Amino acid sequence: MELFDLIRVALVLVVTYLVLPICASRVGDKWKQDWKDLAAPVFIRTAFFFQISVIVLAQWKLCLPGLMAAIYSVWLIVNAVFSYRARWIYDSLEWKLLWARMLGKLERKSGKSTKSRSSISPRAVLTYVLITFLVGRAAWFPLNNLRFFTQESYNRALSLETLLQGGSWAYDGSLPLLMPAAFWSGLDAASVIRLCSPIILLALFMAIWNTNRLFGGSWRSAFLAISLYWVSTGLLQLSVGVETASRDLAALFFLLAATSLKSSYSYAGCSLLIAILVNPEPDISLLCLLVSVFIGLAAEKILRSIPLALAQPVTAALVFSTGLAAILAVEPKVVAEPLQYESAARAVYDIAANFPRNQWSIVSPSSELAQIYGRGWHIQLADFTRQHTPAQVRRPKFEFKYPTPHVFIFVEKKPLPAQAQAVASNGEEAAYLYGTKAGRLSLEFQAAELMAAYLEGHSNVEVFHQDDELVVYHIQPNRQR
Amino acid sequence: MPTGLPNSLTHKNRRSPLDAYDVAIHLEVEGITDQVARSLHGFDGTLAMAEAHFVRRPVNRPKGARPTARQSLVQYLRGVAFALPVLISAVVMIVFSVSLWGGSIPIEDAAAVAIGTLTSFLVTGGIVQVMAWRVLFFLTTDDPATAKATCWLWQRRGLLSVLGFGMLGWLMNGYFGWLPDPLARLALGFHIALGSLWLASGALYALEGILWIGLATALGLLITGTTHLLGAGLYVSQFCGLAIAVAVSQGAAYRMFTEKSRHRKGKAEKIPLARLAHTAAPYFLYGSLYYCFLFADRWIAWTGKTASETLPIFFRGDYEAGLDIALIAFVFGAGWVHASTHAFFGAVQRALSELAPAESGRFNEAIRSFYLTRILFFLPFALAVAAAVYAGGVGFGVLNTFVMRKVAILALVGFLFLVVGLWNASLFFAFSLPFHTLRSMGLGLAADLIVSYFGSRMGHYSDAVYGFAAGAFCFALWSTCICLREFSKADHLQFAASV
Repeated sequence: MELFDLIRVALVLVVTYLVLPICASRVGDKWKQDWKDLAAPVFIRTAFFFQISVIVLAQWKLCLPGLMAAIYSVWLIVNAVFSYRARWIYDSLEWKLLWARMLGKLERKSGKSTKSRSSISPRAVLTYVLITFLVGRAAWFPLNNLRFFTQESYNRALSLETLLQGGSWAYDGSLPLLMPAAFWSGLDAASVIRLCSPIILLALFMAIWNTNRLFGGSWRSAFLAISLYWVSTGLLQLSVGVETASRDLAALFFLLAATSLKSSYSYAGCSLLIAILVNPEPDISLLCLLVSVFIGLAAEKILRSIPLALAQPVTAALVFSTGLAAILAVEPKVVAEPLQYESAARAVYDIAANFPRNQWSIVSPSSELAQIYGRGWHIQLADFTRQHTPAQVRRPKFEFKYPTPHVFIFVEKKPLPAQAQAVASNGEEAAYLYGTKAGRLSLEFQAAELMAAYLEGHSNVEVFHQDDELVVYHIQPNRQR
Repeated sequence: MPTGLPNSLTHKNRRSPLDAYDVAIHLEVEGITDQVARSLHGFDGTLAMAEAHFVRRPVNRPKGARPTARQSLVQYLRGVAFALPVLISAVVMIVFSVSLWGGSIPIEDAAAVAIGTLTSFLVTGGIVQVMAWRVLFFLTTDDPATAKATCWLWQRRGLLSVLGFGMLGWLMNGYFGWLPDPLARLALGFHIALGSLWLASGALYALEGILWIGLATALGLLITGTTHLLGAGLYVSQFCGLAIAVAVSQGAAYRMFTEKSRHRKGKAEKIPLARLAHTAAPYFLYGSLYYCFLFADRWIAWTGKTASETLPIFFRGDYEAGLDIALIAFVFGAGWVHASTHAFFGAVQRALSELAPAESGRFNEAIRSFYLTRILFFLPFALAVAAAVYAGGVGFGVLNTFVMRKVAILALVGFLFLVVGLWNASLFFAFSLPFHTLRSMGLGLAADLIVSYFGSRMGHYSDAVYGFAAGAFCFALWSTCICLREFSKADHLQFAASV
């Protein structure tokens, strides 16, 4: 199921960023143009369109799927119209001719099918295999972890879902680029954020390949650049491709900006602007990327200058060693401590899948909110423990005053190892309760105590999920006690 | 004057020529060229000969009689009769609380039924128009056997479309998760059942079998009520009722076709796809655009502000109540469209008989003034009907919330404009100018979508009704402007061809 969701997200992104815009650009006079030459400019143009339109619409809380679909369609039509002769727009005869041509095609019923010849060299397959393997490894992580590991990802998911619901969002420059996947994949924002990471990594690898192609590189320079980038970011523990991060997206557009300088300053400018909007502070991963690409191209130049008899074994040695290092030596992992148990995240998805929309509430720490938002209601565990006492909930006539027919209470048997070991520095109560070891311990203990008391006097409660770390209670307040 | 006149000038049974050019054409067809006219008949040329003879021949056009009040009333009632099934359904619903779809059901189920109903109209709207167009063509050319075969061909195509779009919707629902499973099945069931009913009713409309449609509806309601009384679930009863209504409608259509064709065998026309697309596109698009226009604001209202609702597409009962009340006024207005179209062509016939083809300016002015007078007389009538309907709605306690009253008022205004637009559309089709209808309706739909969307997303969901009113206004205004432009430049012959 998770794999199917990944395919959905990938398909939506490929179709919205590449397939449809390329088709629109090739409708008219450019129909003979190679799609490989169009891919990078079209991608930058589409990304720029989403970046600007989402930021503008979000100001009026109008970044909604229907409106975005309409604006995107208009944008595609404008692309198609301007890719043709300009008189198409105002000359009614041109429209009539187009209609007549379409009818002519219908009359003939079948057009001549032209089979494009594959121009992939057998050696280039090695690079494709490497990319597939690395993206597959990067995809393994989000496919097996429904939770996030960084607060940045939780915030991003929450912000994206708020944007989708037409609310006020916390600005995040990377979100406009992920909007198409959130709109048209049919998945919740948290899943989109989670599953986009390997796709962004794939886009980054394709951008490296494209840079090599444009600057006279070959399959081996692309292979070297990709494997060097993977190894270097792995050694620096940058978690590239594991969890969607602004820096991955920004690096992609910085690279595209550098590449576009060769052909078009306007595309380079657009790409640079996107990169700055996504992440205005370039970090070490961008340096790794640029250095890897440079080394790849430099190696290509050196290998071309030495005799073929020497170049071949050197190439083989380089490809073998860097490839092996990338495949075996570096494993994608997240260094941060998790903010949520995996079973808690899975329980939220189970509840969302099996109970009617907005007919359930979850009482838990704030981490679950990103996965709940837009599908159900969330009550802070801190509020739950503050508002009730064991003596109060023990009474048989007591009922929780939550307005939904289903209430789920998440209690950690083993309080999650908190990131901060002492009192939270900012002094906020929530930060203390959720983010410190002492706070979380006392909070989960109070919650467990409350539920134990409630169980004594009520039969409308059952255990929805239980494992060594977590127990989820399901209360139906309206059910006959 | 030489003797031995050509046939075109002497034949008694030939229709009266419209003008000298008409005579000249007939003369040329008979071989009277300029040379022949000079050498044999002593004229300067064919046209001079035609002018000489045309002046002598009296204009012998049947004079169009002004319709009596009784005739106008009959035409009006025929126009209103299309709403007979709706009327029967409404009466049965009020008296016996039985309906073919909907009724007193949970709000989530109502959303599913509403989606099924709406999509059934959208999918069949264009196909029913094309079917009616082809069937009427063969019926008026006295070929009922081919009309029958063509009708069944389009029925099959329509049913395939209903099933195809139903499956597509089912798959899309699985992908986006709009409706949970039992509701999705309910929506699909009503989509197919109602789609089949609209197709069967479409055939009966083409055959003018309004009473049969009323009978099928009544029987369907009877079966629904009976089976429900006997203990069957509401939806099972409604599906049984719909099945009976479809069967009766199809059976009636078959019987009417068989009677007309007297058991002759016909073959459905096989038109190449390109030609079909070229000729049928205006009718198909008109049917589709019409239903898109009617339902666009509903759809937008149902999908707006649903973040805290149990479904992303949420049926708005108060919005629907306001629109349904306003629909009553639309039914009375639709009767006016039928009567006015009939009266318009009577006026055209009178003008054709009273004015010579050369007097095109006066002729066009006469038609234009009739058109404008008719609209001016319609407005007070429509306002009176709207006021009566609104007062009835408030008086009987149907419009008991602010949202309902707001929607009803704006929808009444919208339906008033829609009636004017539909009258213009019927004239465009009569003059073989269907693209004017499509353009004006497309403009109206665009205005409807834009205003409804922004209204409902930036304000309350019920503000979508402003879009309906704005769209109907644009449709009426644009189509009226085009109508007036066409009337001022149309020539006598174009009108003569349309009557």
